[in-house]
Amino acid sequence: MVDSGLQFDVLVVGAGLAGMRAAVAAKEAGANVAMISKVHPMRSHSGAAQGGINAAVAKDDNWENHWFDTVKGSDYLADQDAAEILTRRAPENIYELEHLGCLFSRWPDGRIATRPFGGAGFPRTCFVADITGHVILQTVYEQILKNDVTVFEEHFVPALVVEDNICRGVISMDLATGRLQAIHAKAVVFATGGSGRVFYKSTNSLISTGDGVAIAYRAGAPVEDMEFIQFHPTTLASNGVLITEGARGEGAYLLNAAGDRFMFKYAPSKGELASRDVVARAEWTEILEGRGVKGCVLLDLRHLGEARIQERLPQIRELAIDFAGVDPVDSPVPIKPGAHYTMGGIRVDKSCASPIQGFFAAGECSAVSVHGSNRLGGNSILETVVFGKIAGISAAQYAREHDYRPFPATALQAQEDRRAALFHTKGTEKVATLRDAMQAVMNEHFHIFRDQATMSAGLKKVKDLRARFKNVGINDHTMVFNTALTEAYELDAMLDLADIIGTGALARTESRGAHARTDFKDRDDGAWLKHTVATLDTDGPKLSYEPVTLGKFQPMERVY
Amino acid sequence: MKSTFLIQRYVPEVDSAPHVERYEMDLWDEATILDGLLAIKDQRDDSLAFRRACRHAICGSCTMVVNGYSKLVCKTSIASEVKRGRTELRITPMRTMRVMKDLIVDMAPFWKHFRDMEPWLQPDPKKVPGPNEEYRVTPEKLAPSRKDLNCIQCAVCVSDCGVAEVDSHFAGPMALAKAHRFVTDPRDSKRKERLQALVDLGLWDCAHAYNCMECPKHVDPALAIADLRRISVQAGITNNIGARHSAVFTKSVGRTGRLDESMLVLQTVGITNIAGQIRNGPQGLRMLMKGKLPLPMVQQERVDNPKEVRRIYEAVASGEER
Repeated sequence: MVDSGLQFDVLVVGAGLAGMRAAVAAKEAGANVAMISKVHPMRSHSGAAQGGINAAVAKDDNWENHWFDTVKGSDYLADQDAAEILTRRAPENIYELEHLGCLFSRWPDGRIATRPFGGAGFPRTCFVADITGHVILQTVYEQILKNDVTVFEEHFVPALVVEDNICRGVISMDLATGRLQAIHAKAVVFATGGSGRVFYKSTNSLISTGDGVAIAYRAGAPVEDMEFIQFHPTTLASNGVLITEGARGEGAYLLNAAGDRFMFKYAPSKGELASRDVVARAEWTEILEGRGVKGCVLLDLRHLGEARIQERLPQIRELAIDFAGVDPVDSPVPIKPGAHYTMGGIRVDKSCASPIQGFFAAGECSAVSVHGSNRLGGNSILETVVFGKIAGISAAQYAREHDYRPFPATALQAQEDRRAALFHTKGTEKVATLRDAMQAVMNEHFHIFRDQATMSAGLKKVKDLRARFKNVGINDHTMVFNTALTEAYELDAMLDLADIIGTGALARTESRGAHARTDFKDRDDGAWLKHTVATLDTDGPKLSYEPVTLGKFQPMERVY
Repeated sequence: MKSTFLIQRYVPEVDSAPHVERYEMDLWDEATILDGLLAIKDQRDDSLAFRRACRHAICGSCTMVVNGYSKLVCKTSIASEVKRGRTELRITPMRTMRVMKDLIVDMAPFWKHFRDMEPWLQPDPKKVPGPNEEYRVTPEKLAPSRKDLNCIQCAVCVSDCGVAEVDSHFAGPMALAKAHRFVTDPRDSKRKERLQALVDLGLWDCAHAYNCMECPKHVDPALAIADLRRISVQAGITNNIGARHSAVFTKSVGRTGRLDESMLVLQTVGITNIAGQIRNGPQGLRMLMKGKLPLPMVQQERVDNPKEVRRIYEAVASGEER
């Protein structure tokens, strides 16, 4: 027992869709469960998912087509057994969400409607207008309340505690009081979300700082395929806010400065609905070759008409008006690719177990790996519910079969010392300055098109920033809601991730999915059909490689 | 664009009372108030505490009071305040909630009201479809709750609600909109139980100030509350002060075009509710003596053109049928 008296069979860190789904599943499996989140669960970034969730629910569709589309979309880097679970179980998970209360948009006959999405051979994206993630987040939070799951809201987790490769729990900091405490657990599930804030003008929330991935890595967990960062094709230039792929799913065009629908040049059969990596590269090529409009291309929805826009895409209409000053009913919306999704994450098997005993991960912070080198639109919230549930069940089972292991006495003190050091340092570097510099470096050096020279220079800059962080100082030394402190911890995490992303990207001398190199333009299955695995070494990440689980689908050339 | 931020600061470990700090900022033309706060935190004072996450009005974190009105600051441009004639940006924490630090308030009571709604689907177990099918719900049946789904629990409505300010037991507009979402869900089997519970949770306590119609997500809780009251009465849940008040009010005005205030009170409390009448008696008598209340059951003078009033009633009634 730890001093705080807090002890749980299953402790879930992160309260977005994956975390809440895991917590509910573990509770239903009979475990004593608690969930920790640095924000209130309803503030989680899952709520920002707009366009939909894929599942072969339509009569003429079948899950094996979804499976194939997912594997092809991943540029064959997905583990096919994991992608099979994702797609085979998609329909039952949709119906389960529906039975729990999620009000999916319907066809006139009352069945769940679907819309086309990028990289999919069939319109199989279920949706709630363009607020799909938000409504599913509400639904799953309702289940947290119904099941009386213990929730530590606004608690930040600065460390995962592991000894002898066995997970013991976490240290958490109550943001309202600053109190650090040990939380003892048999099993810990991380569902801490993406790392989008490593990049400049990401679509991601300001809280998507990848802390979970970084602290797992520091505790010895291997981190997989982090070099694959998805740039979403349609983000607002002003602040990086997402405009859903559902807009193109509903029929919107992408236009260049000349008014041409350029996508068919790059993806002759799918056009605007090619896979995201393909569309992002096409847009960037148009912009680089001088056919952009002030650094953007145009997303044209006008021909859809006001009624359909208002019914199917009301949120993005408002976002375009608020943040781009453009009403899509009347004018095309200037958009550009922006950092959006972290394909990689904590390496886990298909039961969501990491190599650390008792430590599980699900959702965007994990690499199970269903997305490989490029995720299909509509597969992310699907992953959160399918694998969130699996993680919860796996963790509950682990907790049934194992006893509590002693919590190392030094773990709490180490975090007290870390904070005290940050309070007492006369460090002159500012968190905001280093963060802005890191984001600029990542966008400039690890963007949509990459090459050896640019990436080497970028990685050196990242390592310099890492060194400068040692001299960081904050002015706020109070305990109540010290958000300067949490931002410092978040930057610390992001610098580790930037290092892992850069190191992995530089090493991978091929182009695959979202990792496109101008000096190695082709996919190289002979040398590179393998996962990058980063583990913490004395001075940064050490890379190794693991095979991809292949299966039914042999790698083929990927055309849309 | 130059702008002046006047921000209410309060650090419980340091300050005995809140005070205002002034920050002169020079930001880009399209900057939002959140952009301004982030810039202040980054460049001037890293101790400034406020909640924020998505920065595009879907997470509901960043509600504050800006020049007197509650706003999601990520969705509010500085220019829009200037256009309203506000040269300075006075930013204070949300109202109706306890300040914890700077612009961060204690939202636990807010979430308790949410929880009180039992906000989860409670279907008839016999009617749950099989594992591989959905409830058949036509788009028309989804329509009544569509706006409620937009709610991001940002608390703009609660922060600006006059009733929430004086009555911590009142469920408040957000929670009532959440209740409306389930009451109007054709899959839910607890409609009547929910409506009955709402009577005690404050269904009839809303005083129609309509501040919650300034909803940044267009949920418009006041309409949800009005609809809940209508459904509640239709469902026969009329044996409560709110429903009686509404019925007596409607009848009185419909008859004479005027409100018989004395009868309104007597009948709302319930003519046979002796204890209630005794409780209200002294105040009623005092009001009578001061001429603030007409004598009950004295024939009320009709308005000049009662037909006009009746026409309004008929229009409302036929509108409901349409």
